[in-house]
Amino acid sequence: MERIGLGLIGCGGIARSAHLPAMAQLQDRVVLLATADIDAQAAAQAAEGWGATWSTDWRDVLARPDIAAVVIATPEYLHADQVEAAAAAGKHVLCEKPIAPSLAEADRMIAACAAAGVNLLVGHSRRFTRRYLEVRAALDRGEIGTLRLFRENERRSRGRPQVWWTPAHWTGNPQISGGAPMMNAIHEADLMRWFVGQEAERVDAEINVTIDGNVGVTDFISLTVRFHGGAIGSAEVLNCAPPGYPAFHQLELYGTQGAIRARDHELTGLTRFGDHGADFPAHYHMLLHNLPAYARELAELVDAIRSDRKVFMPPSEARAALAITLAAVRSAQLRRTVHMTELAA
Amino acid sequence: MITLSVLGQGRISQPLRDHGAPFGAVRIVEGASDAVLIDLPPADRAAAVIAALAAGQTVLCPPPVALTAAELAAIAAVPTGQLLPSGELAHTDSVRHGLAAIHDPAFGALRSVYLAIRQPRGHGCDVLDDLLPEALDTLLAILPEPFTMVRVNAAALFGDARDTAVILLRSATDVVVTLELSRCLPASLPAPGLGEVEIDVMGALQSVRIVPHAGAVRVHRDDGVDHRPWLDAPVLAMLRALETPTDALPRAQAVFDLAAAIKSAA
Repeated sequence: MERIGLGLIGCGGIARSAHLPAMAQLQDRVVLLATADIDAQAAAQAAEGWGATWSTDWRDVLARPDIAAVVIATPEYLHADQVEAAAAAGKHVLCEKPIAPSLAEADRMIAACAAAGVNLLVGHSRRFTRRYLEVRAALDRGEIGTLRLFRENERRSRGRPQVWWTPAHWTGNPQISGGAPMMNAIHEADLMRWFVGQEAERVDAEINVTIDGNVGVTDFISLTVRFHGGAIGSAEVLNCAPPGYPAFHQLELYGTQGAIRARDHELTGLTRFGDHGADFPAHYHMLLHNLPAYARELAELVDAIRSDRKVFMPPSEARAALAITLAAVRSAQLRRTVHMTELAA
Repeated sequence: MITLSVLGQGRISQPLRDHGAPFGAVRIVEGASDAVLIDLPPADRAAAVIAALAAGQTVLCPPPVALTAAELAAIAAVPTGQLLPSGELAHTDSVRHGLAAIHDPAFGALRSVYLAIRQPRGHGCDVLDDLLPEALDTLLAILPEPFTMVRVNAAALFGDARDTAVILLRSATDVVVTLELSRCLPASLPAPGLGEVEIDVMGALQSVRIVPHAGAVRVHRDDGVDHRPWLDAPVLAMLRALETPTDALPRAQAVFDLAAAIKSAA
């Protein structure tokens, strides 16, 4: 079967660590034809090995008629324009999360792709991660009854990579970075809604800046959500843990007839001790930058294109996760509970 | 030798009833004593504390020592005796060592505090009455400062009583605290004593992860698992504090005030 021609827009960290390896894993189904990044070296390096062309202008990727789909791995403030342009060019899209910085931009993207008849798959990679797929399946089988309490804490080491959350990297630029809410907590917002199976009713949250050298980007958030059916979801998400901190993700679900837990600190199979502290190489590879998850994610888009069907996670799901995240940020800023009905598009 | 009597039949005093032998400089007696450990239900504690203080005794009493502001004021008004810090959680070995690490300058400024207490489901009490005082007593040992923001997401998720509360606090120095109190554990997750407790404190230079219930023996039977933590450490630590007493009233007042603010926000 003919391989699907891919373009890659944005060749930074997530492209290098996740999307390019996923493409390599699916090289019998996809071929990378063009890359683009404002950093010419990054674009060129990403193109290496595939014989792809590279550019510092993302529009060059969309101009290629042999490209059926693009992977957009740029900061979220660029997503709307790039996805709209991709849709206009007839390209299917795999866009990194968060879908966009605002609901209005998300709506533009969704409408553009719908009008063009192309798929928009937003990269909520945890929906393709073995751990969470198993949990969803267990919930579907009714193994713990009705889910009433969701918790996932996500704790990450500060300074990995070292420049993150500093002005030397876009994640540390208050003008363009959505910080920990958009970078991390949107995963928890998506998971809690996916697992609870209800829409959020109201949100409370507190945010903070906790990392030395951070000039004002939120790198910490603790949020709690009440769902319409009465369930509660909560998440503490931080990026200030010291190297070697043993618990990255702590997932706990409590249902009317049981509980499900997947807590990284209980799943550590390998610990490596060094001068800097301890780290967990198998753990990190397996759970965070989970290559099989990114490969499944890309495979879903490719299979949807080949089958002429919609992807299993419609972009409205990503919009809903964004809405919860934005409500959390607004709650922290306004210092009060925010009801989801307050969010205007 | 300090003599100690025990009032009540609760969990904290169980090790003393089990052993009855001298504990360091403390001897357990019945009747007149220098100190008294009050291990009564919360509603009965304040009167017992007042009586003991009036008798000039040193008093150990787990939080909450009072359920109303009037009771707390009456305790504070007793001119004799002394109330000692007696939080069960704060006196566990892991929390005591954790506190030492947190308050060491090498820890750096506090960035965040997460404290979860999870107990088996099925009890009929409001978690804001029975779990919150212990949580706040420990929190205020970690972060002894005022709080400027209180948010509460609480509900009855597994029964008729309010069994779950997620509480967000912001301290005067902008430390965000997340408290999760829930009686959510199914029978397959046995958690005797205070239950499962997780405390994660992030500092600018270090962090600590405190899991008091991990100090336990698990007995795997054909038909299930018994989780058997050793529960004597808190009371032994309290007894050691008898030798160097400190006044617990300020913290009791702070716990009461913060609990009142949380209940008001719920």
